[in-house]
This record gives sequence, C-alpha cells and structure tokens, in this order.
Amino acid sequence: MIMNLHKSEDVLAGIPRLRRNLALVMALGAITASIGAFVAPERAWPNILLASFYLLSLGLAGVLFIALQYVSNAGWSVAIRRAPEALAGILPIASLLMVITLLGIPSLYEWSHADAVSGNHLLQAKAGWLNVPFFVIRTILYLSVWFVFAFYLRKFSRQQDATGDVSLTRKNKKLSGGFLVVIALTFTLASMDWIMSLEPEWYSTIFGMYNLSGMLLNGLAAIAVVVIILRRTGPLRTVVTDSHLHDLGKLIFAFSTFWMYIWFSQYILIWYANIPEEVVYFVNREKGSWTIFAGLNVVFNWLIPFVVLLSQWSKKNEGLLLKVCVIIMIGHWIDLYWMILPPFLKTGPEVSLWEIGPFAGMIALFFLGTFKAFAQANPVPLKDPLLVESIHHHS
Amino acid sequence: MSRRLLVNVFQSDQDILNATKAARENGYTIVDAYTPYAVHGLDKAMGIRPTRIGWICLGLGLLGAAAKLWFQIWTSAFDWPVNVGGKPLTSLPAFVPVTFEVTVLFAGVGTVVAFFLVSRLLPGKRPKVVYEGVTNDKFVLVLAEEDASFDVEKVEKLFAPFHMVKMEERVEED
Amino acid sequence: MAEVYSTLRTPLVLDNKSYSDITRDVCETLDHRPSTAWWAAFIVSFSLLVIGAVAIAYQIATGVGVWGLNNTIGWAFDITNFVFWIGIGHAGTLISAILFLFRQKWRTSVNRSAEAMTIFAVICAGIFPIIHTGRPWFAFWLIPYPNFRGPLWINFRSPLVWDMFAISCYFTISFVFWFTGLVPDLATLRDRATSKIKKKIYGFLSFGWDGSNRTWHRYEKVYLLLAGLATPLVVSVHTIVSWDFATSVIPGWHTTILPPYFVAGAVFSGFAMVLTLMLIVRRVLHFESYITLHHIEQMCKVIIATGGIVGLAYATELFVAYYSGNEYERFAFINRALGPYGWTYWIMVSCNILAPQLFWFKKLRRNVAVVFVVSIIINVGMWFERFVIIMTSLTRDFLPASWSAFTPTIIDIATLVGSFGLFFTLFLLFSRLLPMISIGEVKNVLHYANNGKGDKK
Repeated sequence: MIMNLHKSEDVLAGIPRLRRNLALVMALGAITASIGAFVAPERAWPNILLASFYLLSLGLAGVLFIALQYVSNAGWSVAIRRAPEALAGILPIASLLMVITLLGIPSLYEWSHADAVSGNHLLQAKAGWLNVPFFVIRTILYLSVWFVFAFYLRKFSRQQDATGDVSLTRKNKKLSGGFLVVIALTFTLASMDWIMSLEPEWYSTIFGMYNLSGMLLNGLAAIAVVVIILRRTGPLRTVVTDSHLHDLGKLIFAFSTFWMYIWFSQYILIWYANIPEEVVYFVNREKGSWTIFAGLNVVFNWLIPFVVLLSQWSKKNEGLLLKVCVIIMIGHWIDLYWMILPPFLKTGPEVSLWEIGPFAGMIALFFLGTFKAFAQANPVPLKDPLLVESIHHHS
Repeated sequence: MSRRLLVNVFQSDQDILNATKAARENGYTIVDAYTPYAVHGLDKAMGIRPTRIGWICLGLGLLGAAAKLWFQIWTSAFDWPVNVGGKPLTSLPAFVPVTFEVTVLFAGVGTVVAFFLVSRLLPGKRPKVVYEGVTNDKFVLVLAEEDASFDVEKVEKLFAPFHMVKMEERVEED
Repeated sequence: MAEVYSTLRTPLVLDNKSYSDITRDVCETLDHRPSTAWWAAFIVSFSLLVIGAVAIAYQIATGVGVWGLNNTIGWAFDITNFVFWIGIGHAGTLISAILFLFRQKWRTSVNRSAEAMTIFAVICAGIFPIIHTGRPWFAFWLIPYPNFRGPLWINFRSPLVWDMFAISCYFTISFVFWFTGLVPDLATLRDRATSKIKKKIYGFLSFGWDGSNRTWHRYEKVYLLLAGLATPLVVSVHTIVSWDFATSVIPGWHTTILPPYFVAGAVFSGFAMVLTLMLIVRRVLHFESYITLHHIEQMCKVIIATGGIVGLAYATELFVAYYSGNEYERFAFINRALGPYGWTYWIMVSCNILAPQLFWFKKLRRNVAVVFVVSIIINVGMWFERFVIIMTSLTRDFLPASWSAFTPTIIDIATLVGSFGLFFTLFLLFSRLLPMISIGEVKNVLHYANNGKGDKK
C-alpha cells in the first residue's frame, strides 16, 4: 500500500508555468500594496490588513485542525495530515505580513490618534487597552506563541517519520491540548484587536468566536483544496480515498452551519435589543450596496455549501467539493471585507485595484508557500501509529 | 402459493457477511438476513438498494419550514397585527427560531413514522421470529429455493468455511 | 470489510464478553426483584417528589407570592431550575446524536441512559415555566390555536414563545429518538421473557421487530437522519433559552456570546450529571466491563473541553465589560463578583473553572472517586451559574431606588428538591423497566479494537 510516499518534489516544480504565474501575481500584489500604502492609505491598508489576516487564519487553521485531530484521537485524518501541516508552514511568512501591517496603524485605527481620543469619553475609557505600544506588544506576543506551537507540532510529526516513536504522538497530544486553550484566548483577543477595534466604540462578546468559526471553515476548505490538488497531481493519489473526502466534506458542512449559527446569534441579539451604540454596526453594513455583500456573505459561506453538501454523494464528489471549497474561500474574503471595510467605505463596497492586488498576491503566496512546505516532508506521516486506520478508512 | 426456504444459522457477523457475499456471487436468491444488530456492510452484501427515506425527511422538513413561516407571517402581520415593542409586523429574524423548531419536528417525527410504516412495524404486531436467538446472538441468512434444481448440499458446501451451526428447510405459506 | 484499528486503541467492552453475555448482563437486573438499595433510593426520591408536589400544590392554590420573588426580582429559583434542568438534558442528546455523527464508538455504553436522563430532565424543566405562569391551567394558551378571543394569536416575536416551541419540540424529538433506539432491544427482552405479562408488554412495545436486515438497513439511515436533526436541535434549544435573557437590554444578560456559552455550559453540566449517574449505575449493576475507565476518561475530556469554553465565555464577558467602556456593563460585572451575591459568583468560578482542571491528569480521570466528587461539584456549580446570571443582574437594575434582594422561601427550596425527587424517581423506574445499556449497539462495537485479542465466538 505505502509506496512512493517518501519525500517528493514540490508539485509546482512539475508545472513551471503555473509556478511562474503565481510568483508573478504575488509580486504584482506586493507592488500594488506598497504603492497603495502611500498613494491611497485609507484604501490600501484595510485591504492589506485583510490579506494578512486571511493568510494568518489559513496557517492557524492548519494548526487548529492538527490539534483537534490529536486531541480527539482521530484516526481517519492521519493520511492527509501533511496538508494541514503544510498550511501551518505558512505561519512565519503570514506573521511577517501581519507585522508589516502594523505600519498601517495610523491609517487603520482611530484610537491611535491622540486628538481623536482626547475628545472621546469612550476612547479615553479604553485607552489602557487600545494604545499603540501595547497593541504592538500584543500582536507580537500572539504571533510568537502561535509560531512556537506550530513549529513543535510539525517538528514532532516529522521526527516520527524517522523514529516511529509512539511517545511523539503523546507529546503532540499534550501540545495540542495546550494549543486549543491558547488559541481560544489569543485568537479571541487578536480578532478583537485587529478587526473589532477598527470601530473602537462598538463591541460584541461573540466576535472572537465568530472569527474562530470563519477561520476554521475557511481553513477546512483550504485543506480540502490542497488535498484535492495533491491527489490530482500525484503525491497523495494512492492515499486519499473518497472516504477522506467524505469526512472533510462532513466537517465543512458542519462548520459552515456552525458559522451561520454564530453569525445569526450575533445578528439577532443586536437586532432584537436594538441598542443604538450596538446596532449601528449592522446599520452601517446594510446601507446601500453593502446589503449585497451582507447577502452574498450568507450565500457563499452557508447557503451554497449547505445545499450542495447535504447529500452523501456530493461530499464524495471530488470536483464538486473543490468548487464548493473555492466558493467558501471567496466567501471568507467577503466576510472579512464586510467586517473590515465599512468604516472606510461608508457608501458601499468598491472592488478596485486596492482590493484585488493584495488579495490576489496573498492567494498566490498561499499556494506557493503551502506546496513548498508540503515538499519539505514525506507526503504521509509514515510511522504514525494511527496511519493504518486512516489508510483502511471507509466511512 | 408457498415457497421453500432454506434457513442458515451463523454465529458471528463476519461469517454471515462472508456467507451472504458467497451466496450472492453464486446466484442464490436472498430472502432476508436476520441479525441481533445492524451488521456493517451486510445490506450491501445482500444487494439492498439505498433507502429513499432521506427524501421523506427532506420533503417534510421543507413543508414544516414553509408552513410555519407562512403561519407566523399570517398571524403576526395579517390576521391580527399587533405592534409589540415597535418591532416590524413581519420580523423575519424573529421568526427563524420557531420555523427551525417546526422544521425539525416535522422532519424527525415524520421520518420515524414513515420508517415504521414502510417497515410494517406497528404497536402490538406479532413478530415472526425466524429462529430463536436472532435477537440475541444468532445471525440467520434465509435463501429461497427457487426451483427443483436447488441443491441444499451445494449450499452446505459453500457455507462450510463460515462455521454454520444449523441449516433447516422450511415451507412458507402465504 | 473489517475495520482496521491501531494498536493504540483500547477495547470498549472488557472481559471477553460474547453476544449472549451482553444480552444477559444487561437484561439480568430486570429479571430479579428490586434490591433493598433500590427500594431505599426509591423511597427517598419518591418522598422528595411528594414534598415538591405538595409545595407546588400549595403554590398553585395560593399564588406565586409564596416564592421569594418581588417587584425587582421577577425571576429567581424557578427560572434557575428551568435552565439547570434543560442543560442537564443536553448531554444525552450530545451523546446520542453528535458523538454518533463523529463516530465516537464509546458512546454506545452510555447513550441509552443518557437519553433517558434527557427526557426526565426536560420533564423536570418543563414544570417550572408552567407553574411560574401562576395559572397553569391556562398553559394551553401558549399554543397557537384558533380561539374565540379574536382569534388572538401568540406573539411569535417573543423569545418566551420560541422557548415553548423549542422545549416541546426537543422533548418530542428526544423521546422519538430514544424510543426508536429502544425498539430492537425491546424485541430482545420480548424474546427472552419468561413471564407472560412481560412478553406481552415488551411484545406490544417492540412493534413486531424481527431483526430483518431490510429493516436494519432503513433503521440505520433513520438513526443517521435523526442524529443529523437532533444535533442542530440541541444547539438551538439552549440557544433559545439563552435568548430569553440576551434579547433584553439588561447588562449581564444582553451579551452576544450567550448562545454558544449556554450551549457549552449545558453540555458541561449534562456530562457531569451523566457521570454522577453512570458511576452509581456501574457500581450497583456491575457494568464495569461496559462502562469502563476508558469511557469515564472520555467523558472527563468532554467536560474539560466544554468547561474550557465556559471559562472562555466568563473571561470574554469580563474583558468586554471592561473593553466596552460602558459604565452599566462594567458595573454589572463588578457587582457580579463583588456585590451582595458575590459569594455565589465565587462558588460558580471555583466549581466550574477550578474543579474540572483536575481532569487534565490522566490518573485523576481514571480515579472513580475523584471523578464522582468533581461531577457533583460541577452540578452544584452549574446550578449556581444560572442563579448568578439571573440574580446579579436583577438585584441591581438601572434605578438604585428599586434595588432589592432575594431570599428563597421554604416553598422555593421544596420545589427545587421536588424536581430532584422527580428526576431520580423516573430514573429509578427506568432502571427497573428497560435495558440501561443499548444491547444492539454494544454488540456492534464488541470487536472494536479487540483485534482478535481474546474474541470469543
């Protein structure tokens, strides 16, 4: 069964033209973003923030997926674990992007301007938390903690390929438990810091959980996309069965619905209580053509995945699953855009060079980085004690 | 009409699974298999077509959702509109929870009722227990003896590797 | 087609049981007359139930004024008990539905009892809103039916109406789910019954089940569909319960994280109750080979996970109260921790956040005595959690002139005690009438991770 599963070349190396084009898109994206930061900072920085956060979420979702599998003793997913591990491999570059984004603080965050704070009672009350030095320290703290977990989880997993030591599984289980506690706390705070404080007077306690659900949904979709590409191009051809896709499809279906649930919970409570300082958030996001984005958000992240993946057949259908995952990945962009941009674009969304540039460049970077990271290890954790279950898995 | 049946009794899920596969491959008509629990893969081995009960579930769920949503709008905004706390008469977000509950209620209860009806299981129905212990630890495969050429010994030989404990012929009256 | 299991897996059924051993072990207790211990437990539970019944009768005859409520505090013990019991129920559905979808095979030993627990807990919960209406004989007014008062319809924009739908739907689906799972086992009981009456009753209830695989095939699909429906249902129920509070504008109640936080808390408390019950059942009925230390460990892990979410919610609420900069929000949480009912808050924190941390250690997860004690501590803590949420926000409202306090009356306490009496009475009756472990499902996982080790045919 296990053959040709040793270290493989980067799949993109086999398709040099694609690699070249991806690199080109990445470079163009970076150039657009850099120019935009000077020419139109109010437009470019929010989109740079979006792209950095998106990429960071993908990397984190990879770690989160691995951690969840270890903690729940899941056997089915072991054969595809190198895909989320590859996603986790883009954390360093994503963290770097996030650090660069810190340069945009003055353009992004109202609370970073002393004159804005001095005239605002609420901002003064929050100044102990929302101030530039502490914000930067927190950002660096989040990024480094995440990196440490990702680094060791990947390291132990690869070490096991060589030694076959079962205690490495136990080590990773402990790390995973710790990571789940850490990510729950830090990601809640991080999403509040980076995104919620764009409108510093507004608050919602579910905000962290909402971002966590979106991050995981998008991450699962990305994992499925990577797995399907690797299955089509070779390294995982003999390993990934319809049962694995079925299980991924089930998770995507479940978390899509979970995302919808969290979205609705936030919406209905704010809508129902109708407290002016809270409800302004949704009022701004349903104004003018923002309504279209509000609708598309729900359609892309929930309605389409829900309807398409309801039946067992479609979850096992590689092509269909791939399409749904791409829709979710676009949907996540819509979701973040709908969260981040309204304070900057009061009248309605605009899709221009400043939107497309950073996002396209980031997606190119994602694929280049992920496949490179994938090629650094064996395509399958060869000596994982649960691998047998995954190889013989049928759902 | 009556037909002759061959009742084969096994002791484990693996045995009946393999026996069923063997019987099907050799062209025997499988009447049914009786087991103490749902043996994974036995339905496929018997060649049972996928059940369509999922469609009943989906249909009833959609019916419940549509009916309840309509009912809430009709009672709140048309039959006797009452302004409560300034909420719009047709408050779609507020109608979601009850719509959801009724969807689940229709789909869930309907599916179970449909299941019992289709399977002809009714309260107080007298069971036809095919072999003693079939709800305890026996796995029974029933084949139909289609014509005179049916050779019991051949079946016995076919099932020999599967630790059969008993084999008996019966006549079923309609 | 046989499943392959890693050597890391532990078997789910110990001691080389055969199929007929399982049938015998589970059904045997139903053959004997009840033990003295059972009678003792039953008499105690039933007495508590009677106390509760008397209290409720007195309250209905006299009025809701016999409770410690006042103008400021309109909800106290009644709604606390309601939320507490509904929460207890959620573990049953989680085990039967969500763990089924996640293919957690260890659920098979506990799902039957946990589902029964769900039904009994929902019955206990349902009593409180009904008696709280003051005129429970008009409870049917909650149902939208054509009437001669207009017809005047119920207000579908009210969370309390959502609640009524959620609870009744939850009860119905839980019952249907539980019964569907019982039918094959009832057939087993029917076929081994020696007394004529038993054969008749079990025969009637087992619907003529004969073990046909054409039926099993559909049955499995129905079970999957029900699990798929029950999963969002159980989430929706406690979500809607949380909306009873969160749709208001009361600081401490109106907070967007309440829905997932309530759901996690419900599962958390429910698992604590499952552990409390199953540890007793296991000991008394000698189910050690079926409800193994491995099962207990798994449940402890669920407690850690859901307890963690609850802890995250506590922390988020505190942080956002500060972050909001809103003085009412900030006051609500300072008052919660340091106000007149601060002691209940600290009970809540120590029971729900500190105590479960013991379960990080494998040794303690496998120590039955420790698990039992912690499970009871969590039950207490989760009751207090609901009390804290309801009470601290009500005693100190927006207008200091109307600030007030709540002291439970003897009737309040008797009603709470009575609900426990009802719950345990029902559970004890269940233990005498129906198989407490799902016979068919356990047989299905008998070979799990045995890998041929000591398999007896």
